[in-house]
Amino acid sequence: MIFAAPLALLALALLPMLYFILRLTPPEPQRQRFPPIALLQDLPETQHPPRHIPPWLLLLRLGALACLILGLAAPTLRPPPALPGTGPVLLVLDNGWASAAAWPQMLQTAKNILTAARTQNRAIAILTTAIPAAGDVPELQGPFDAATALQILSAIQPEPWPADRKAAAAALRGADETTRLYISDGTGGGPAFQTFLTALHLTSAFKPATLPPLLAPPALNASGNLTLHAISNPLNAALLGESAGGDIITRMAFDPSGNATLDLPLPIANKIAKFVLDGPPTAGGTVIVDSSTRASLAALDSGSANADSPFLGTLYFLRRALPQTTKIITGSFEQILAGKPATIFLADSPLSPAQQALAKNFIAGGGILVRFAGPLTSETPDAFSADTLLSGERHLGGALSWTTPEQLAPFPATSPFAGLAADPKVIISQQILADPTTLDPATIWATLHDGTPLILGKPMGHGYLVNILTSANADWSNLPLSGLYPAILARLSSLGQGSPVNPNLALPLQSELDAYGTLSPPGVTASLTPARRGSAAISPTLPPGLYGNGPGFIALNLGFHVQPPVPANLPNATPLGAPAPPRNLGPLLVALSLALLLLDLAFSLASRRVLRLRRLGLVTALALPFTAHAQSAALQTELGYIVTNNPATDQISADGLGYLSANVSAHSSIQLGAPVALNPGKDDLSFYPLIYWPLLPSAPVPSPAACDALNTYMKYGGLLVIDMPGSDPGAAGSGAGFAPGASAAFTRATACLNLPPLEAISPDNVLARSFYIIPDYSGRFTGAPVLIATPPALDADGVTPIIVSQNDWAGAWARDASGEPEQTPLPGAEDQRVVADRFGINLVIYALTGSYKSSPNAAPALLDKLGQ
Amino acid sequence: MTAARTLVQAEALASGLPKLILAAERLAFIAAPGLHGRRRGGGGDSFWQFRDWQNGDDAKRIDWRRSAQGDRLYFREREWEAQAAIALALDDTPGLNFSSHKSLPTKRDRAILLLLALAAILLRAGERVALAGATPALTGSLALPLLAEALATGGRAHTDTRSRRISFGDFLRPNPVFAAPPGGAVLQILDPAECDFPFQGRIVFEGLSDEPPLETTNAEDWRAAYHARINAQRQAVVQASLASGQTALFHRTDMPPARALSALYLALRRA
Repeated sequence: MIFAAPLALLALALLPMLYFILRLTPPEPQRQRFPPIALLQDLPETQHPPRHIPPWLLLLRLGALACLILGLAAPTLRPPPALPGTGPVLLVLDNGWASAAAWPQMLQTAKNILTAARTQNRAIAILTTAIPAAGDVPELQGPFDAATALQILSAIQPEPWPADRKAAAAALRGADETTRLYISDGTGGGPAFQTFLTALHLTSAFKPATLPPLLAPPALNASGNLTLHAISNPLNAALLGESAGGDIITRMAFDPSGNATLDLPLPIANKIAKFVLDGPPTAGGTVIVDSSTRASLAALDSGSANADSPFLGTLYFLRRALPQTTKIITGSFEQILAGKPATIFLADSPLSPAQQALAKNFIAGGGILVRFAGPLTSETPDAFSADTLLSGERHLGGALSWTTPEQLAPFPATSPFAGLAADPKVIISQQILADPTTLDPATIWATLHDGTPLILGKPMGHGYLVNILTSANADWSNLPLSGLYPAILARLSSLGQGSPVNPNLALPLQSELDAYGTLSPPGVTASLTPARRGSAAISPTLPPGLYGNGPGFIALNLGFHVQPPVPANLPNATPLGAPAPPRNLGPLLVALSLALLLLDLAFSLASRRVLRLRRLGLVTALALPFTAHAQSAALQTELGYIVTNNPATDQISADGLGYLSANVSAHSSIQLGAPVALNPGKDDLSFYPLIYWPLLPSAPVPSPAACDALNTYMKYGGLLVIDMPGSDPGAAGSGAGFAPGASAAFTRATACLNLPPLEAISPDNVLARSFYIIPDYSGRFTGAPVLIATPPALDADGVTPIIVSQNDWAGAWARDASGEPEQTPLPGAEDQRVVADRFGINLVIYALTGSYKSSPNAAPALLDKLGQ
Repeated sequence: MTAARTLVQAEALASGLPKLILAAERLAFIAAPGLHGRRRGGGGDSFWQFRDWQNGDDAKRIDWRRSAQGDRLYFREREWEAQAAIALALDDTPGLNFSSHKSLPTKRDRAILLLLALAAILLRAGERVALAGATPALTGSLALPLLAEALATGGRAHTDTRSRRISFGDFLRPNPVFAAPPGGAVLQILDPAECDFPFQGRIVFEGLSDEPPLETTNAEDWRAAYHARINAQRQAVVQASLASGQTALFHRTDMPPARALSALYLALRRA
């Protein structure tokens, strides 16, 4: 127990002071009115020492104040968890990637277990299910004493790779602890998990309320927009796009199928370095974006006028051969530079010196400028090229030439095109030439069979200037018609995005993703080739993160590279929640103090005869059981109806009795309140002069308490009206067939009631005379027998305790809010309703006044007796 | 307690004593000289004497036959208006409004109850009953409500000092004196607390009529002295009653009222 406001405890020092003050203060004298006071005059006065406050009252007051001070100090109590079983405890803790989301709760639970173990003085062994490092296996640690185990526990961190349940099962084989507690990350499934559970021999388990989140790696859709898919997103969290610096650039919601599409301008979209799910940071909820999924912007420009003419224009093939996800802008050189593309393709387009300066800046900033040759630039090549170019073009295999058109030689290993197969069908028939005297061999990216350079590339700053010494259309070669052309352009685009261009080149781990989705310098050496990425499985030897060296890198995310989370089959697991809330004892103590002070006040008043304790207790005891219901019923006369299991019937009852109450109030001096829904056995029935019970064929057997309440109600002068909405097929009356099973329901529901013997009511009963004189007892239906108690069973006032009918009176009385009747009487329509309404008034008068109206019935007999 | 409720109680008390009522039928003989000869049911208009008609007298009561014999107008004066048979008196002091416990009536309530019950018995016996100083002598079935109303609201009427008087009160005044014709009765009504003085501890006593309060730290010490004084007071009441020829009676509010009523009846009969 701790005190939230311990300073308040200082006030306890006041208690001894209060003790002396209270002891010194004598109690107030009793005051007594006494008429013969004159007789008391001048009586001798004997002196007595001052009377002290009685010790029990002193204790009561001191106790009240002590409670108040302790309560203000806000003591809180943390209930310690209890561990099952005896002996050493084995604590198995999941710490794979899936545990990161719920790790604080898991850790807290583990700490609670250790605390409980410490109080019970039990040893603890710990097993974590994730492999700690490459080449390692999960091993049982301990058993330790609880303090050591706590130190070990605080060193355990979730790992970014999956838990290895199979290895954990192997580690469990040697364990001999009998109490085995498992804090699961909530994922399971598969045979490995079953093996693990079998080996575990679980005592009790804990698991998080939800599955861990998992995002699939991003992909580009057909329109070049980035799409993300949530494999698991139990909390339906939003997706945040973050820049490398951690700024949140965008926030997106997933559609119902778990997809989200990024729709931002490309320069902004390309700033997003990773996407994370809103919520606790986890590796599963994080995807790193690499350049392979970054949409690129390519700019095209041509010197010729008809650059887009089908099959002839210089840009026609280029436009179609660029990777599908590339967004393309065109325009003048200055315009396209303003669009900040990653790559610029210039097809036979000469550059002015000013433009060359701009282009140099562009390349130095990381851009790729690719220049195709062509008739406009071949005669006077400008100096802006990877190597010095000769003017004029070389024709191969033409009419005036002895040579044949040349094929491509295999690409050099240092070229960005290394690994691409040189298509033998590609034939270059015309090209321009680089000056062999100044040619730098390092700039040659592709050559023809005879060694003539075809593609030259030169790094300048962060980018490259690339010269393709043939045309961008099919005029000078059939390269644009071959499959090699898109591959070459794709490699050049990748170069522009900083992607590694060779899919088989092994890339070292550059930065590692930890379980909380943070990139950090690698702790292990690992490598990955882009080609193998698709089938890679995350493990300690292949942790998630960024792989690559230099400018090109690829990302290895968890999605698709770990098993998607499946709920663990742990049926009796305790959900991990917030730790058990501490119980604050403060309010309780303050309330106790107030109660004691009230008691003190009551005693003080009683000692001065202001308050009579016995009477107070009686009043309290009487006041408590009465509900607001009963109070209103006691103050105003109200009719009651018994609620059924059918809301529509209850509505009819409420409407019908409501109209009846209003009708009675309008036509007589009786003022009735709104009818009250009653549950016999729960509500006090004794306040209601008449209780209407609509008995449906589906009515259940009333509870014993309800039967007792109804019996008592009938016995002590209540009038219970059991009404059925129709009767069995073939029964008497117009309601026959409307309620099949009504008789059986009546027998069933009234079996426990002490029903008096019943007989059919006569047409001249008081019920037909008490206010209106009515011909029959019609309700919504007419003609069914109405049963009342036989004369010996009537009560002292001659009133029957029960009326049984199948005429559905409430159905005839019921009016909706606008006063329109809700149901049509059969067969007599409105005339029948008038009779039913009048019967209702008679019924209420009968229930309230008894049978005094029966004297007119007896009048003939009386007159006879009087001899008149 | 309202007058009406007391009335109902008084009727109930009176009717709850059928023997007493039967005996009360014979209360006729207690009348003062000259007031008798009346029969039950004939009352209210028996001739007493003629006197000269004066301005303001009801013309209907002029005896025209007698007046026609001379020049004077003879007015029929009725006997019962001038004479009262029995006067009931409530010695009303503020101290009467006291009861020591909620379950006990105040002395005033008990006095009124007994007064009305006695009046009911006397009226049924055909006697004339007046509330001293408040009503003239009344008789008949309407008399009782009139008496009750007069008790509640007060009233003023001349009472014949010759009629016998029955006084109700606590008579706690020093030196009580009862000035009435002999044959009456004095009923002293006291609360049990006033007789027994059951108090103890530190108590401030407050009077009911502006007396200064008295405080004691130990009320038990006063008990013996108080008992002596209250007994002396009761003795003084008895002495004063006997001195004027009255029967002295005593009643405690925790005793049944019927017993007091019987004692009153016996006292009237003895006289």
